Amino acid sequence: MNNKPELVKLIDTTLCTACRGCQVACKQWNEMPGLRTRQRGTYQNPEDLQWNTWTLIRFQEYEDKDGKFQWIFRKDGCMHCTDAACVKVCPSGALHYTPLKTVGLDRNKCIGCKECVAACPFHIPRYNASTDKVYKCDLCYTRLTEGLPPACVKSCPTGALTIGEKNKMIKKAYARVKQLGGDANVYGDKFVDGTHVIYVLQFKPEVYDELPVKPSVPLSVVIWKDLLKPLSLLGAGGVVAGSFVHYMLHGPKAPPPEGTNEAGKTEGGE
Amino acid sequence: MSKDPQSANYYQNYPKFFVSFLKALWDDKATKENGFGYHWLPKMDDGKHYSTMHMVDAMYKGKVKGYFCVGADTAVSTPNSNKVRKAMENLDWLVGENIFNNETYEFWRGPGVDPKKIKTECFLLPAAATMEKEGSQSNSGRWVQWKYKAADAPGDGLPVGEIEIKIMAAVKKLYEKEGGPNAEAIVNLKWDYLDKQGHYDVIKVAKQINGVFLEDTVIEDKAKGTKTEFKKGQLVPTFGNLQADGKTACGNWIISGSYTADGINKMQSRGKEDPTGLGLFPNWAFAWPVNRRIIYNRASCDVNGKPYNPKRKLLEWTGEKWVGDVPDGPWPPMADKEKGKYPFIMKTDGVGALFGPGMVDGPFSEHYEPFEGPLAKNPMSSQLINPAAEIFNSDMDKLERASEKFPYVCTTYSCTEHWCTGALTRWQAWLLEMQPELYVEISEQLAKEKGIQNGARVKVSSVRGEAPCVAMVTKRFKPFTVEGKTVHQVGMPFNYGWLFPEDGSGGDSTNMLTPTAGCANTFCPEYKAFMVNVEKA
Repeated sequence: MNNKPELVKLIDTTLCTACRGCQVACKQWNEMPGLRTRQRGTYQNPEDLQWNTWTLIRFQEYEDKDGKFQWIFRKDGCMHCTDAACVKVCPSGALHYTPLKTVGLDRNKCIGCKECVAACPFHIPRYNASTDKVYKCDLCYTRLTEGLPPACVKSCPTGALTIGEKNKMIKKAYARVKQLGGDANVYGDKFVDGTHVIYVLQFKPEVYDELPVKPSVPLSVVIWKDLLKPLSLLGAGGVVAGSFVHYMLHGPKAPPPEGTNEAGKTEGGE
Repeated sequence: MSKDPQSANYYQNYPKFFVSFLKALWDDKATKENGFGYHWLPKMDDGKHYSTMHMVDAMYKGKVKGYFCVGADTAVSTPNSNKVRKAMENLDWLVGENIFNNETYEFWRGPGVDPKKIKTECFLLPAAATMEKEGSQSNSGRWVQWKYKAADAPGDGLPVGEIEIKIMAAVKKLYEKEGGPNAEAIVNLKWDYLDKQGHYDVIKVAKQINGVFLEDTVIEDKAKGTKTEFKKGQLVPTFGNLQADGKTACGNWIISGSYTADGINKMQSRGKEDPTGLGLFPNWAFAWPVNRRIIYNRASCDVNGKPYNPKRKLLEWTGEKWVGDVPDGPWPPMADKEKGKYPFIMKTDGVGALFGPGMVDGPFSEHYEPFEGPLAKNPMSSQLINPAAEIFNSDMDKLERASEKFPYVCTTYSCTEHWCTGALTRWQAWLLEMQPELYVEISEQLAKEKGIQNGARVKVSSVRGEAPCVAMVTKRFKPFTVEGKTVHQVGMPFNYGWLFPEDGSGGDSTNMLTPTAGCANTFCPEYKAFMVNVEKA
């Protein structure tokens, strides 16, 4: 297993037609239910990632400064960071690095603390109050270990989703960006020590809804997990330091009040 | 028939195909003396058409009393749904065959319908889904591919083929006992397509479609100087062997050769070779006719049989024969004035045509406004709408052309997540989650003009009906300027119906709005342009 090459999934947003085959294939493979929704004045549905929706096509109507219109589609989901904030903060070991360097989630170990929900710079893990567990994409780990592509990649009819050996995929992404020209760029290989899901974006990252321009592990997480936590273990004084840092951790970024969506009834407009 | 010696006049073979078809229906009851039963066949009347719109119109006028609705949801899919649903009230009986229930089969308890007042007797027969039955499946590339049964249908579900065979067998029995109109056509029918277990014998049907010798037959090929003997019961190798004297039976001549005389089902072929490199895959499944992958393929070559594009060699004349795809006829290229034939062998003149007999309009393209459009006068000519198009004029076929009451052009389409009426896909929670209910897409300009917020409930109406739904305000729709005036266009999918989701939250058919109007030649309904109003609900 350890000899397996590091894999990267490439999302070429310029090839996506928003057929949403991936959104369905993900639910099918991972046995997640479809929940009742309403039409809210957009093709994007559900409204956001949620416990049963690990990947979501975001629909965005974009006009550039010259008034040229484009309907942007972006497949959102776990980026599988090399330096993953969720793994850092997870106190139970539920979130972990797999031998393939992707970020796995062992739900049996999850204690529903939602630390990961607060820490993730991409706002990916989602909590379900009825199970008291967190959910997210695991890049179809059980498929990867059998040599199969993730369900989303398998379902993609246009070649917007591909997976392969890390260096090859990064090379492929840059070649595509060069071909596209303009503002096209590769997103993902340069931060959090590189993600295992990378994008080819047609526009600058700031154009896209819900896409952080400079994602990083939150400073509070770095201070606590990398610096203070090891110290705190040295003595009882650590309890005090721990309380202090816990405040720091939750002060700037509280988990969103979304644990109530288990019935999935998001009524009405936006 | 053409007198041009270079036209193959292929339809001179039509009597062979047609008599073989009649023999497939009535076997030994079809004889030379009784014209092979031709007079038993139902005939179409001159000047009459039989499209879905015509059928519904006849139903509305009380002329159609029974309706088999197989794998369709007419109450949602067909223009002017209010008329369609009203028309169904005139039926004595309705039989549905489908894998899910739908708005058509339940029309008797639809919105605004009092079930006590409906006299129609309705049946719904559960059908097997495609993966629950064996048989052939044809694609638009003319490949006939065999597929296998993966699982039993749930409950009492049966393949539609089996349902039809069993119903017709019962009808036949009843006719044998009681008689009835056109009884000969029914009691004489060859109808032995159930196997020993009483199930649909799909192989037997496939063989009957392919064609079979009904007597020992010797076929002489004068050109090659050969004689070939076939035994009674042997399958015919190709439609070239079909006979006009009743010695062969064939359900559909173009499929002939799909089941070989040696008993090989070519529809099951799964060879992945592609010798031409053009993606023809000649050994995958069977392509009708005679496994020819591209019809009229000799038109890809010049008069000497050399491919126009040598890099894409579909087939080529070697001087003795054609090599590559199965040629459309064995004749040498056109340069041979004696034996050569033109490539378009099914056309009377043997050549390609932009316009031909049977079309009610043309040959030159002309601009007409939609049947119901925003203009009172065609800016291009004095003729507003296509004069060749049929006009339906029942009391429910109302029209409001260039009307202030219905000022917006509406167009309809499908969303990716649902298939047609959504009768199959709305039951799928994953798909319904993504596209849960009916919406109307409107421009930001129209939304502003009407004070409509994105996501707000609105009422879309035409002179024929209403469709309450959700407004989707989008930059993708922009107003047009037509004859100096602003004309707004709105767009709606047509994938919803009242039956499911059960709480009615999906809305109902967009065809409540559409007119009974269509193409003058094909009667493909004019779903793409008609007039509506959009108001805050």
